[in-house]
Amino acid sequence: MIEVQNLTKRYGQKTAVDGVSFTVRPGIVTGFLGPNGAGKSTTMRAIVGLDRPTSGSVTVNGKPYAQHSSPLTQVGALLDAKAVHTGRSAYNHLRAMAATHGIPLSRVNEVIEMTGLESVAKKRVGGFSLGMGQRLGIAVALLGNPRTLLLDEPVNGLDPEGVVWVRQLTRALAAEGRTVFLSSHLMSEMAQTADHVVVIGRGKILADAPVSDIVARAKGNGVRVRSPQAAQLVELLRPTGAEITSDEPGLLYINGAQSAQIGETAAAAGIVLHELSPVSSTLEEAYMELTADSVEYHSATASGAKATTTAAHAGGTR
Amino acid sequence: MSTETLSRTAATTPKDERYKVTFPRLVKSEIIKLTTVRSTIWSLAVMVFIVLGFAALMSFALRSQDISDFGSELPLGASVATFGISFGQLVIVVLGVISIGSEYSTGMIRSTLSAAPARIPALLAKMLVIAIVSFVVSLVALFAAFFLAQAILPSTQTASLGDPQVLRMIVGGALFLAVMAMFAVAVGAIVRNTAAGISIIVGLVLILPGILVSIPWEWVKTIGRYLPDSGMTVFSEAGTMYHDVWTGFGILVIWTVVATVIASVLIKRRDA
Repeated sequence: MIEVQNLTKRYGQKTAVDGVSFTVRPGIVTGFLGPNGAGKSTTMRAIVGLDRPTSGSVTVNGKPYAQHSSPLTQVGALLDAKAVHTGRSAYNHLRAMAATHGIPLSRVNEVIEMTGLESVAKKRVGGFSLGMGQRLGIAVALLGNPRTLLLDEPVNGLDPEGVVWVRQLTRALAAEGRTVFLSSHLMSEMAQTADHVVVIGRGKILADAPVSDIVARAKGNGVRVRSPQAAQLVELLRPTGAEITSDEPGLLYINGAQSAQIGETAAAAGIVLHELSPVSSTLEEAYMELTADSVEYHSATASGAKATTTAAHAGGTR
Repeated sequence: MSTETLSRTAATTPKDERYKVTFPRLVKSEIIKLTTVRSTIWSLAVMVFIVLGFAALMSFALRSQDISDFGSELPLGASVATFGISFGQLVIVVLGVISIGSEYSTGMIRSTLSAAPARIPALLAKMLVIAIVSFVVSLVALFAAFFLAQAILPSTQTASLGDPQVLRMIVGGALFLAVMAMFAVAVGAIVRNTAAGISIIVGLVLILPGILVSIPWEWVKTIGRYLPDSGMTVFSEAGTMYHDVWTGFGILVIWTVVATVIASVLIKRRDA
């Protein structure tokens, strides 16, 4: 269980995290999403006490991390795959980490085996690929057999087999009743791994809900239309009540009208269509919508799907 | 405080309780860290080579000359063994600064501090380990240098361990290097950068004393006499330096304590 309450972290003038509150519960995988610089890593660093909060509090299993007498058995964290001395072997790094808690060497060998590092364990970490570095970071996180796992971009740099392994591992750990909190920029990955998602943008929480809710809150199924006469088509479709979005001139995203209906309307008016394709919304799009708000300074409203711009806006961008 | 919270968190297994962070465990971890990087082995080997090399060099040089009056109350055999310390200290200082500076440059410090979130015990454990390793290796090197010197020097100049001051100078040499190493770790922890740490200490220990004492203002000279190199009295013949044996060493200890306090406050307060 991780409880973050009103966490604010400022670096000089820059506010990295701004009054964030959320709870990460045991037994499920909780994803932590947000664009670069949104405050994900800062929040995670504050959880394990590496960064001091400017204000607010963070507790893990009921206490601030630094007050646990056995922190590695409470929280296993992969925050930065490069938090290792490059001149030391993976085995010796794990040995040094284990020694701080009196964790036996048998456990060191166990996590080396679990993470598939046997063949490189005696090699110096400086020569490791990004993927091997990630595996070592995960090995360190698992060392104390912790009740809570904190993984910042764990699949970053892993090969497809490694990605599947992390997915299975995190799900298995959660199924054992542990708290699993992982960040990822791969939304598709999150959709397959996480049960619950916390979305952060510009240091503020944008959404904190089950994955299924986030997807349902998105635009839902729609139709993508590409046409040199897009503005004209917008005028014709507007009376039908369809919601129309445009990200670039000549490209429309239409919600609330079937592709057959759109095609017929266009044909009747003699409008040329270059593309007419039904698209289903994914977690990725839901996430883009949520974060688009924070990126573009739109006034945030309660309903999460408010990032959709209006048809008038679509016409205006041309 | 902790017992109440622990009993509340029901999922805490008795197994967790076995794996607590303790100071001896942090010391063990620091021993593993120090002995599993190549720079340690290289630094200590170079230090031993310097101490033995200078003892041999000085002894041979003295044997080829007829020195009747050295202006000292001690036989030459006593001071020759500790001659290399002034140079060997550079290597020890580098070792001390690197032991913490490399943790910051590689990011290892974040692993260290997440395993030991109280932070200050981890720093003190590192200082203790560096000090003990420096002391033991220096002591062995200095005894070896002493016997090597006696084997080379003409019989009129040889000393024995039982002679006054001899044992104090040899053990003092090792003590000086051990405290210097701790000072270096503390400075490294303050600046969090190997190059900066080494520059500061080399400036304080090697460059500044010579400069300050040659400046013709009395107050500047006075400052120059209270720099960390005052600690060299502990392995020098009594009465040959500005401070007496233990006052000089005490000045180095004070520098080290102050640096350690500053480093502790900073490591606790700063983001890692």
